[in-house]
Amino acid sequence: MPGVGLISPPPHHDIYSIEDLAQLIHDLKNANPRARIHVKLVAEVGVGTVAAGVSKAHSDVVLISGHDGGTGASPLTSIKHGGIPWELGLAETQQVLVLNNLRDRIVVQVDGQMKTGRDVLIAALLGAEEYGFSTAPLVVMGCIMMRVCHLNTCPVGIATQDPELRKRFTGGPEFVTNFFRYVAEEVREYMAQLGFRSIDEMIGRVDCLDLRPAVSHWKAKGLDYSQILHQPDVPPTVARRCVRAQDHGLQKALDNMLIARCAEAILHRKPVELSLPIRNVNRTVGTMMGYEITSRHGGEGLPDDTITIHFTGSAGQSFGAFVPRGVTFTLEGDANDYWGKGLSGGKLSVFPPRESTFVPEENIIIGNVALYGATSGEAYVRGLAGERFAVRNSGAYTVVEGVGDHGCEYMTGGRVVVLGPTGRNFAAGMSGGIAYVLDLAGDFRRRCNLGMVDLEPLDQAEDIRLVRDLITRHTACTKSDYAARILGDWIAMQPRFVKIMPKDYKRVLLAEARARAEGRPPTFAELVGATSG
Amino acid sequence: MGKVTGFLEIKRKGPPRRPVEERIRDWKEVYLPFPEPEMQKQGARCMDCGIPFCHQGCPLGNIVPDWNDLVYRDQWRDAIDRLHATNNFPEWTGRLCPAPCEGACVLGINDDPVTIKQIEQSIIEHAFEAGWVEATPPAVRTGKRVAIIGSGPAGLAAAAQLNAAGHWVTVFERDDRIGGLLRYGIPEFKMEKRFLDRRLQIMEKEGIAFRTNAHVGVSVPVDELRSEFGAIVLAGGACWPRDLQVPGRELRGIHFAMEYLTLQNKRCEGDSVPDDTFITAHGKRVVIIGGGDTGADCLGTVHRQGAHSVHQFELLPRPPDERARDNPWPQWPNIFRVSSAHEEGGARVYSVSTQRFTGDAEGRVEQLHAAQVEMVHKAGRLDFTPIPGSEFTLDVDLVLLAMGFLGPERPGMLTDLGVKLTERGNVWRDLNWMTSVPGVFACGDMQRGQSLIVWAIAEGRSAARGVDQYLMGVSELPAPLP
Amino acid sequence: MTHEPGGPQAQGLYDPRHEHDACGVGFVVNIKGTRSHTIVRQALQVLINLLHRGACGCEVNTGDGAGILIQMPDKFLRKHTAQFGIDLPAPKEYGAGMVFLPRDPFQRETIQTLFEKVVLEEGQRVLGWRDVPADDRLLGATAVAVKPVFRQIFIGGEPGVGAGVAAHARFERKLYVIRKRVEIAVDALELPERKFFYIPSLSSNTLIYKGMLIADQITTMYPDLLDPDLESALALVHQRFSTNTFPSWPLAHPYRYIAHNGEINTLRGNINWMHAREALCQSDLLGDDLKKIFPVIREGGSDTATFDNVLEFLVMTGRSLPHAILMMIPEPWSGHESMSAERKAFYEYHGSLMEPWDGPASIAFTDGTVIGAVLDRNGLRPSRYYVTKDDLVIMASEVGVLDVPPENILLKERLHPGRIFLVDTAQGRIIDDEEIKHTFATEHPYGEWLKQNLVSIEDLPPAPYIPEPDHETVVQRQQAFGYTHEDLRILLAPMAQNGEEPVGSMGTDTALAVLSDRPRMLYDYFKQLFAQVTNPPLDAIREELVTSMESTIGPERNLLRPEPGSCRQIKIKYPIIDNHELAKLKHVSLEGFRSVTLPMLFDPAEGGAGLEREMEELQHRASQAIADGYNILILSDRGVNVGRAPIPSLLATAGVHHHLVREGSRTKCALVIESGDAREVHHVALLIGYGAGAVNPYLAFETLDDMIRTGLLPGQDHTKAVRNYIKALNKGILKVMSKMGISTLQSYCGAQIFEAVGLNRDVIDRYFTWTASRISGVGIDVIAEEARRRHERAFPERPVLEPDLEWGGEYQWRRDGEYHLFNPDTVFKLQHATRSGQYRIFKEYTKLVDDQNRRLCTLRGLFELKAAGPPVPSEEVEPVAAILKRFATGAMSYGSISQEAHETLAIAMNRIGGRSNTGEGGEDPARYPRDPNGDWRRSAVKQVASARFGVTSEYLVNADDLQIKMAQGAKPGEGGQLPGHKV
Repeated sequence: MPGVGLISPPPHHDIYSIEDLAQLIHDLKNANPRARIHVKLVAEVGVGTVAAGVSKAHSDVVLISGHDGGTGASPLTSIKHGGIPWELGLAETQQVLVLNNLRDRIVVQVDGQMKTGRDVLIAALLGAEEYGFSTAPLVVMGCIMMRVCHLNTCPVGIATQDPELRKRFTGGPEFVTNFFRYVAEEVREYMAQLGFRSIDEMIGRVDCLDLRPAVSHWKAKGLDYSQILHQPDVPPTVARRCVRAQDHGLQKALDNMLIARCAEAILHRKPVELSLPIRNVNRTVGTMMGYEITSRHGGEGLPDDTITIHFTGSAGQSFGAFVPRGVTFTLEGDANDYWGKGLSGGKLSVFPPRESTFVPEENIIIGNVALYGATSGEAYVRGLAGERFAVRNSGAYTVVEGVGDHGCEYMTGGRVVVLGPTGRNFAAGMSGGIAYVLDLAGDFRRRCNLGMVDLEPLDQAEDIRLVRDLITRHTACTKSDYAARILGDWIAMQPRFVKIMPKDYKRVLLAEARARAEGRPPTFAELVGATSG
Repeated sequence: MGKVTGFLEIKRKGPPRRPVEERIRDWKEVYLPFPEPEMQKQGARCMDCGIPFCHQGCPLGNIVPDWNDLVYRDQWRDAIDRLHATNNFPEWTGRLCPAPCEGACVLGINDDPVTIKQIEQSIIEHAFEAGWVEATPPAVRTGKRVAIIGSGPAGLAAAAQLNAAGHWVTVFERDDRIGGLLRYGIPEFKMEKRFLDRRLQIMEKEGIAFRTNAHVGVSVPVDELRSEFGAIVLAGGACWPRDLQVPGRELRGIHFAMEYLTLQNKRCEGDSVPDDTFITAHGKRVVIIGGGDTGADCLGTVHRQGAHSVHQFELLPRPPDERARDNPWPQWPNIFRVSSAHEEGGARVYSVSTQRFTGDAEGRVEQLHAAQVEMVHKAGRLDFTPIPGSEFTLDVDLVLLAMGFLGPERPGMLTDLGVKLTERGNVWRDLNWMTSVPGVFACGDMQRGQSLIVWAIAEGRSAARGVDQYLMGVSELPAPLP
Repeated sequence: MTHEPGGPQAQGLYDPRHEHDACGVGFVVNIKGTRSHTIVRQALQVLINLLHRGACGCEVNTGDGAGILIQMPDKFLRKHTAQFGIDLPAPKEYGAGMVFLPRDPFQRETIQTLFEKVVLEEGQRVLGWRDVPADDRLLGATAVAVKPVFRQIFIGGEPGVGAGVAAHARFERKLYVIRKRVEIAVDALELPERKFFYIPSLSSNTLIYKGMLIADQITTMYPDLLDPDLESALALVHQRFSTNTFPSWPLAHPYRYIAHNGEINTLRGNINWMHAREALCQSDLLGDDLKKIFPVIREGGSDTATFDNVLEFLVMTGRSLPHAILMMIPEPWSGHESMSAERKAFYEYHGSLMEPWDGPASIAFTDGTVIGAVLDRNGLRPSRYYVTKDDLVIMASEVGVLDVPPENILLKERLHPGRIFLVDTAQGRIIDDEEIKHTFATEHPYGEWLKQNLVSIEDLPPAPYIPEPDHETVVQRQQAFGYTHEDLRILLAPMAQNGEEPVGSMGTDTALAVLSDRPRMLYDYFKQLFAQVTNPPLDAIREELVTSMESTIGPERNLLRPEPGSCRQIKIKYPIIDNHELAKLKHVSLEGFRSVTLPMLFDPAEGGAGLEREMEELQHRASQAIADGYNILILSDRGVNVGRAPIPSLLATAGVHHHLVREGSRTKCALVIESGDAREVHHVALLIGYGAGAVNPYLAFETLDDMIRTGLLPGQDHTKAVRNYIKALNKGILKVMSKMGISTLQSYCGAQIFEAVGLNRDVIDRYFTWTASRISGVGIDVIAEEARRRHERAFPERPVLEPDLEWGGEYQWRRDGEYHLFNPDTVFKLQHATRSGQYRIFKEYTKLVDDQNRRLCTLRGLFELKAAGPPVPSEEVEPVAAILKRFATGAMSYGSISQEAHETLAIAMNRIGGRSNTGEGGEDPARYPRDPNGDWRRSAVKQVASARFGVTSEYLVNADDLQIKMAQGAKPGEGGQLPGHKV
């Protein structure tokens, strides 16, 4: 939404360790089994070790980025002093992957101020099979290195969204294709000279590189490149480039069975309903099926509730990740981290087994980082969620009975109703969407990060209707007697709800409403507000 | 940086020229003063580029964005310091330079470039008014002596730099006044000579000795210099004009531009030049051959002298209004320009080649015979072929040849010194700006060939470093050119 | 493959120090302490259900490691030792150790003999050895190739040793001393198979089985675990995911006290500090034995092993296990809105004893009686637990790892950030966070101690400071310290105006410091490390509550004897101090504090030798000052004159810090740096990262004053500008910390999370010990020469022209500045070539770039190409079309570049069969179908970044590559921000 600032958080909230990355790789592979999964790293000491971990985590490609690239806005300290040249990072990556015999299953790509055929050639000899370019094609399109990308005043219409400046853009795809053809041609010239017929032959041939001694330079003369040109002592059977595919283990996925049993629904939109047990080793359930649906039916998905599946047990990580519209999952039991990650229109609900005797609204039922990056859909949680609930939600509607720390962090859209306590730092960086928290203890304000949001009472008819409606659906989906009691005692409960309203979002909503009233689309200036020019 | 969105909000604006009717009646500069607040707004148009192409486009390497910004922010004192750090004479370049910086200005890609030259001039004039431009003699004298031959911008720049480095500098000028082309080549309406004198006074106070009417190789023997000075800098310019070798060239009333301009400039200085040596265009039908800057200088002078009519001939075709495809930014834009002199009148005729002159019985030029030509690229060079049937004749009383210069004059000093020349006839120099004769250096048009004032200053500065290095073994002087 | 136990040595660019691991962890415990074999079985089941959190290497049957820790299985051991003729004393009166031994009988024998000798020397008895049955049939070849021999040793104490709690603890400490002594002794042996040797555990309480296994291999490997007589009331299990495939048996978890899921980011600093404080340690409990166990940390261990070493040390010297855990992993307390005063005082007090061990962590710990877990302050690892109605607690990284009938579940909980969870099997109950912390917090009157001893810098009596000099001398010193106009205009001015570090764009294309022709600041040779993949960077802006910039400076005391005076230190809120604060420190006269100023200056004419000598002198003076009782050492480069140039303050700081660490006196003093060269975030971040407790960038302050005087900072006065500037620096330091995932300044201090690019071995080893530096480079002579060149500019023999600063040209191209690969010439030629379609001009462009590369702009420029064979006819080289498929464009989001530019790139890449990248801004579905003319505006690479902008099922489906952006070149370890106006 124009006008609502978008902040990229420093971490991926679903990657706090290497096994989390393995999980995300698995999730994405499920979300599109045809696509290569690709992990972008920045060169620093130890990047080779990380790359080895990435290969073990079943990434198909690893990209080693030099320290020197980057459009957009960065603090100068980071531009100048973070990361190292790709030559070092790439060489380390190649050495460690070969040393670990992990090079055979992963493609290595490199980027960072690549400009010429010689750059490509050296990258190949150091071990990369693919090459990324950014600044050079931008220059080809007209960039003159103003270095004002962060100011939105790019005078050649490249790094700007200003409609007037965009008119100044003069680049054409043929310039860009010329550039790449020339680079390729230059690479061929070098290859002919050096005696190579194919790029594959060149990869990792550090023996074709020599150090030009910088004897005359007062500083560079002390450099010693022997470590860059080091070749691990491994048998010839150990591959120096990618020669085989990763085993993503998709054949073991529960989804294979789901897809088979829901074929009629996926192919012909015929409703299907199933009941299945589930265990924590069943990870990323529903995602591959989601792929089958979306690749056939596009972003629209299927009609609501075309596929309804009731699961019983403890679900593994990433339950219902990226599930599209038309898919409804209920889970009787509990779930782990990343429940409903990237929800794309599907409906999820989770509640304790009927036999349970504990009080659900006091017990944890789903793990951390649920609904991370959800874009649309509905989700109902009978019980408490862990930390970072609905972080970066941009469109899903959800009800939960309590959350841990950092709830709704970085949220940009959607609606979240919390019927119980929240942890600390609620709504940090929240720039859009609305959350409603039932603040029974009356101390919510203390735990809310008020940097970007205002707290308001729940007193607008529109809001009340929405919250009541969501709680009603929550009750229906999860049989929550707690929620039913809240509805039953609504007159007492309504004043105890707090509405968490992002300041940016409010401004945009107001601008839109004003424009709508005047029967016109809102202007760009209105949306971005007077302050952010 | 200045105002981030300045270039989007403010249009290019420069000082207006005085009305033609008024200005052609005197010799004063053609531009009206430009209010400083307006100038500051123009400074705000600068985008403070990551790669300031203007800074590259300027032979001196003027740090244009820095002082644009300082002007915008009303920091004139810092602005002049920053400007003086790369340019000894901004009051001259601010008036005379054709501003390759503006041709390279990034804003010029799809908008009007920043008025860099005008800002430069404002900064230095502001500084003079504020009394910030003072003589600053060097703190330490090395005791070394340097002779500079030629007092044009190259020689003066070298002098200023070497003096700052602590050497005793003497400038030799064969003419009666210091300034070279600045003095007698540039018409008063482009730069009033008081701006030259103002600077020269400061330089004298800083300890530079000027010797006029000192024609090295003629009135001053070369050997004398060699023995008295630790180093010699040749900055004598490229004064050998290109001639038009066609029948009738010998007729009276056909003059080289410099000859013509010099006389007028002397009169403007208040010298009495007898009418019989003076060349005037008054009441005459004038043809100026050569469409360049010197041609335009002649044109303005001709107007002011009250010619009957004037034509300016150019061999090349009329430049396009917009950049041609093979002339992309940030190259100097080869486009049709209207200088102040053109604004004042006269006909500009392109693709024309003068084939001969005919004269009256007294040997005075009477008619000019010319033809339209077609430009063809032949074996890597340009060739001009007359278009059959396009011949025409024009009645003339005065013909001014402004066709550029071939190089330095060789007899006398250069021959006496025995310096090596390049194929093109300029003085050869090594990477340290030294000629083939040890201790003798060269800079400016004399080694570069005919060029712009910024190049001259840049050369002078660079050669100064070479000299300093030669004399002292090390040098802290900056060298804008390699 | 390298078949070497513990993996290969450092080689090429590989260094085992960068290995990471993470994993799944879990435990099962009977709250009442009832032992059973079922617990063991259940724990093993948990382990199997965590299998997917581990990893396999290049072979499917070689795992990264799995293991189990149980209570001493007395019944089982008694049964199985009898056959070896061992007669075990009563439980608690003997210790058992699992020992990994060399395969070569002779070497094994050597170690065993040595082991037995140590036991005897320590006054204990060797009861015997047991061969541990081990069946490696299911193991991968790599694991088998380096499999050690497994033996258990049994050690008896004096009779009746287990009778009393104190006596038992004494025996346990003896076992600890024995293990440490054996480790140190074996490490000193020249045995080829030395690396096989390892002692997973030696205790009278617990026993560990672990190895290079996958979860489901452990019971085949160690049939012991299936014996029904093997009983325990608790069992801790761990499945490992390491970043390498190198065989390592010892690196499996659990360690003696913990199993860990996460990473310690501040490890290097923690190790250095720990080492430094050993000299001050004295223990009533260990007495003279204390010296035998030094160094506390066994070099070369993983972060977990190191953590375990220190935890064990704290426990063995008298602290309870949970107390020690709270010291090492305190929760964020300083900004906590509702924490009790006692608890805050507890943390604050302990902060003056030891810095936190910082990083994402879920640590499960046990001493055999209590078992529990703690989560890092930010809750970055998952830990869930069930409590059942039949007294079972099942805790693991995931739920559902053990089937429990729903009706049997009493409650389901998770570990909360910074909270601890403990089951005490002796007391037979769960002790919650509140109770544990209350107990420890009220053990001593910490609040009172703090009030009496800890002094805030604000409360120090004011002292006069040196007034700022005039414009002329400021310029001179700016020159001596290498200031440029750019520093003023681009760095300092925005910081003083906005209180924030300035922002830029388009990366960097200038020469590395070591390749630059200009004298560069020593700071420029260092690159910041940052978290990627194995540990998360922090979000210091949005999750500020977990961060703390507070720190204390001043002497430490005996870590092992907490007393009121231990916190006699000065508290500083932020590490950048102004002139008033520095003056207070210089003139401090409070009891317990004595400060001394040591000059960091040298004679530039004497070059490298002179600098080296002055460094030695400075180190010597620092030692002497400490010996003389000074405890605040202020290193100052004031006093630069024609004969004295500043020693780069980074060199001085790191050099003195490491010298004092080596000498064992580092914790007796604080290092405060009065620095003229520090001016930007990177500079102060480095100084603190190499041990400075506080930094006073005085010349930057004076520069601001000068800028105010000359009108370059409109609307600012001294106070405001300095305040803003300090704020910007502090914020910047916080960001640098956060990038590495470090949340407190205390842990960051001395953590040296930097890599050097272009410094030689000698400089690194002497002054920047343990810093990575892989291409060698300049030595002390060049560092001196760079300082000399700056100095010469400030004090020229023959002043030429007005004194002025250099332009800089780092951030914006300047003719006299630093080289940029993209400069007016290359940009022009590239645009001209591609726009006019002239390959000839393109070759001119590449020549310019490659030449500039070769003129020492990049590392690749220094390479020479060598032919692999005779030249190949051009037509035999693979065609352009094939090569084009390998090209991609970088990630540039639709938000950061315009629609026109974004689609132009996509169309172009699709035309040539390459891949364009969406960047992180999502993609308009309207671009998915092809255009009528056959062009395709769809980007082949879809990026998945932390913000997950527009990452829908549809977006993912319409991709050839899905790129997970862990970091980006311009700001690794940081988020990005698209201002509202660019969305």
